[in-house]
Amino acid sequence: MTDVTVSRRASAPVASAVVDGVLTLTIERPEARNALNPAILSALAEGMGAAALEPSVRVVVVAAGADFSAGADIDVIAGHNPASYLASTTRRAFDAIRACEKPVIAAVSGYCLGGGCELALACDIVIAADDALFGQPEINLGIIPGAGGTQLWRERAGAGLQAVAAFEGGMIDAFAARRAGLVDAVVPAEALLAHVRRRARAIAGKAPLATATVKAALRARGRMALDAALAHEVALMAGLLATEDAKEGTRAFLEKRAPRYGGR
Amino acid sequence: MAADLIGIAADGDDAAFAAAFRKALRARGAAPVLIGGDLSAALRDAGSVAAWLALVAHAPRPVLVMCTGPLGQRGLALMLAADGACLGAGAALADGWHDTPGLAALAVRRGGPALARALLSGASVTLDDFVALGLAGREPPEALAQRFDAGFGARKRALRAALELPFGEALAFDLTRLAEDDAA
Repeated sequence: MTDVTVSRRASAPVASAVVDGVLTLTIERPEARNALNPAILSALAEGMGAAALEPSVRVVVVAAGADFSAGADIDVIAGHNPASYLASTTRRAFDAIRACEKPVIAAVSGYCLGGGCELALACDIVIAADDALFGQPEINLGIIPGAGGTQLWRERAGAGLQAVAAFEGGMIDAFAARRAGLVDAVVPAEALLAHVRRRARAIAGKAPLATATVKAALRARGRMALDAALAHEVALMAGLLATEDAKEGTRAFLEKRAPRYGGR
Repeated sequence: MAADLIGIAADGDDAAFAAAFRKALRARGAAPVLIGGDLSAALRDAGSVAAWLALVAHAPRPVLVMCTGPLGQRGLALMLAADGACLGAGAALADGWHDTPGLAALAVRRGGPALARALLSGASVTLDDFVALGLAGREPPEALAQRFDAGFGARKRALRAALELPFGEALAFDLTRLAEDDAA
């Protein structure tokens, strides 16, 4: 696969690069512990949108430096009124991230708080460094998590931890997060990016149509009742059976060789 | 490893000690932290105690305790959470040490249920028993520090993973660096 640059805005503190079918969006605002501001969120949303239009991008990784993100800029939050928040970049950006049609992996180290935690939990797979700390401290500021922080913990870790996180505003470390199911693996901090990229490349190497269809099926669960989602899954599977990729996958298995998928 | 030690005193309340220890961890390099001072205090502030115990237990560098004088709840908790302890002149168990809050969890983490039972039984345990159980020694701290090489911090993180994750995941944690080295 060829390296492709999807998007890069000099003014936005998000670096973007595609290698081996993996788009890595890296938040680069270390002076503020990668606190999310409208420019970062817009850049992330644009990156996700660009990925959807670029067939060579199979997987998206959201990464950062020592800290994934300490949350949203407090002064940005403080500057909103009820009307402006409803129409804000923040709201639209989180919607765009959750709507991404490609698999998204979060590579989380250090502080992953508030909006940063909501960003990580909006991803399909969350890999944590052993120094990662997760939390929704918004209640300590007299507000609530406003981008998924009262909903997204529940799917992964259950209603109890969701309530504890939102009501108490404390932090949990990577190992506790793993035990609760909030994250999918814990790795040494210095190996985080290499590990996530390796997993992302592995997914990018799988049948493109099937990968996209898995994502479509996963997204259906949150939008449909279980019966409808299961019926939707059957329909998606039936559609896949007509593809060249499906034929190639089964043929390669029977012939004991690596498959060569063409995305057809 | 050189015998340079970052010395801090466990004097003051639990919040002050947590702050002092946090500051010591920010020092450059991998030199061990040596905690001395008054170890006779009772544990009072649950939040701060939990904070400094987690910092001591998970510190990415060796943490040693210099025990002189009476060892109360703070001394016992430190001895169990740290990587090593030196018994100096005048070290003695203070009354009520076996009622240290968190003793069972710390002892199980350090040496398993057998150690925890031995310590929780309380009455007949002496400092010689602590030495026999490998929790403390009578060598000077500089000599104890020599036991920890520069790679100890990384291995301690793998130990934490082994204590906190199921076997397969802890193994994967420690093998991650190997896998990523192979991929590079």
